[in-house]
Amino acid sequence: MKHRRCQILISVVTLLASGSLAWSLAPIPSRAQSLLRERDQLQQDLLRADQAASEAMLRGEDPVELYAEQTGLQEQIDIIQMRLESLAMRLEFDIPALPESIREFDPSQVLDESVGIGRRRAEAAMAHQCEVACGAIVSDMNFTSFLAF
Amino acid sequence: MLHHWIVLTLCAAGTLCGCASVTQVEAGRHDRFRNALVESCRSIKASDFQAARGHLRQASTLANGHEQTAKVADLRLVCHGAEALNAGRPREAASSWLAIQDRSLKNQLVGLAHEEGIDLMMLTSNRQAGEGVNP
Repeated sequence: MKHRRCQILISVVTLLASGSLAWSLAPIPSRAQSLLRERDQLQQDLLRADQAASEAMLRGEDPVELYAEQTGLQEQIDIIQMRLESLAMRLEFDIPALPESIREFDPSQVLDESVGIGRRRAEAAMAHQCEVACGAIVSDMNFTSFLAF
Repeated sequence: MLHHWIVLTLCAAGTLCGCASVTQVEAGRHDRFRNALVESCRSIKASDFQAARGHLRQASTLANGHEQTAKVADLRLVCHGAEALNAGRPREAASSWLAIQDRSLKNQLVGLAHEEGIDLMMLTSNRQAGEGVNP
């Protein structure tokens, strides 16, 4: 009888564990993903504003504008977080935690992605222009005074 | 006494002949140096940079003194800059041309490049490749 109870208990625990696993592995819907992206971007902005305010305070300043920016960003993040929690309850998915450190940002990488095609085309056009210009420059050169020695 | 005079006259004549031959050799060397430079300038004007480099190698072996060595170095810079520009590397061309010692030659290149929409000064000061070339 006791052995039977143990078996039932193990089955219940296994069932609960697999259920929670399924819960945590539920895919995040696209609507929530876009909210997450927005939240994380705002969080990065907030972390940068925190750092800027901290640096200003260390310089002996009272950066009121930065405090206002921080407050505004925090409120926006809170609103998005509430919407995400509501979605998570309805659609049963886990919300990833807020990032706590400033992500390394390489502006040249972003720039390269957005202007890459244009830059390559400009470089090709420039190479052609250089070739033509080179011919014109050297043919117009006058070495008379240089050779007068 | 007469014997001494004859010896002295012969010595003087010998010295003069020696000096003359040395002068002739120097004049010949100078002419060959100048010809090599003229040929290299001609090749540069024709955009035949390989031939120009050949003439400059010859001129380099004939160069005598700082002035002549500087002329060879300047033409090498003209050649290198032109090759770089021809290959689509305007920044490299600018740094070569602006390193030319002969002020007249350098100013001429700056002016001619400007006429073609290339700002050599900007190219050496800006970081982005291609800046200084106006479309």
